[in-house]
Amino acid sequence: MEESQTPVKAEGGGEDKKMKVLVAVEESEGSLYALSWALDNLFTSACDVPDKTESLGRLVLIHAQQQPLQHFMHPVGPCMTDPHHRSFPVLFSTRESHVYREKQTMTKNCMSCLVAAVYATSSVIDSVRRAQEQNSRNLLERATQVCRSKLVEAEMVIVDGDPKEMICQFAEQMQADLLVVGSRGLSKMRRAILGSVSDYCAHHATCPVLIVKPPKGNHP
Amino acid sequence: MAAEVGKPTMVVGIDDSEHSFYALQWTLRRFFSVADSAFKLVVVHSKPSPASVVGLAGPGAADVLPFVESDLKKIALLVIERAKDLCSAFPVGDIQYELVGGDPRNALCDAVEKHQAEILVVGSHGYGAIKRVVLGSVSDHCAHHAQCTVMIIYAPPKIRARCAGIHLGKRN
Repeated sequence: MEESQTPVKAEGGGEDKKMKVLVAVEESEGSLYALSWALDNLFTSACDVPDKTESLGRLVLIHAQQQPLQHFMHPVGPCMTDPHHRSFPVLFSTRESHVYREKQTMTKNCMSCLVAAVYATSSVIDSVRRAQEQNSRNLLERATQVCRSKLVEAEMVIVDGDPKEMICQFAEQMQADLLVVGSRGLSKMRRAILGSVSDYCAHHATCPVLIVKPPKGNHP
Repeated sequence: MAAEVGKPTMVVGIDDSEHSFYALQWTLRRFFSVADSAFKLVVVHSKPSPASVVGLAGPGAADVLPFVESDLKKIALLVIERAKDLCSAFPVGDIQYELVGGDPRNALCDAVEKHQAEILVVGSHGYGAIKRVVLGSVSDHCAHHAQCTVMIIYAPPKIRARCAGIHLGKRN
């Protein structure tokens, strides 16, 4: 689990007006549009302050990384050497074990895991993970750029796991006043099959949810 | 975008439940507590037709309809009155109240189109999956079909517990 979060909660007086707004970003156009829409409409103020968030609350950008390889690695001690005498016995415990089924060589008693046959496998996994992290950072960088261009300071958070659940959990944790999600404008069928983060959030979030639709192409 | 004339419109859909008044109050608190707010506010209440409320026709259903109709009218007016009271506590500049008829889902989406609204705000009963299918959900429908951004305000449990007793039996 990787969370990089800047701590300070600067809430002074005027509790009512200060909103903690959580914006979910991912790699689609929809969510960047949602971010700029939210910045335009939620953080406008009559007077020009150089840093608008001071009077209007906190903006937190959250990106949920859905790793195709959800695992954590344990260094293995002597009591857990596997009888096949592989040089790098590493235990993986996976949540999405279907990815590993074809690689599974043996199972221990209580958890389903696989033993890395070669060193190369773990480095491949490493590089995939690093590429993903790089992607996420780029994305959040872009999002922060957008925020800065509208003179709003934002905090960035990266969480691992299923986007829908993570976003709702995080909103609850930080007691967000508003959760902003983009919507890809999927039809009913595709929503049901592909799953929709905005749908899930609308049903399960404990705070108000703002769903931003993509702009119509020929809307005046 | 800050010009007086070009203020974006925010449509708030209400019915007679505590959830939607909470949603209205939340919206007023967050967006309209300063005198010069960024939005024009339109409050929309949809009065369902008696036929849709009465449901299955039984013997004497036709006789009941006029009474149901007048009752619904009364409820609708009370809702608008209450909304007006709520809004008067806040320095809202530009506000309109609309009473429309028909299915709330379509009424809200139509209102959005009519006013070219930027945001549609609805409360949510917080129904689970099954209830949503059986009773239908206005917030669900609006989230999928409205042409603009939708804000769904979910009432926290303590308000829900309070309103469980005084809900007037309208389905939404």
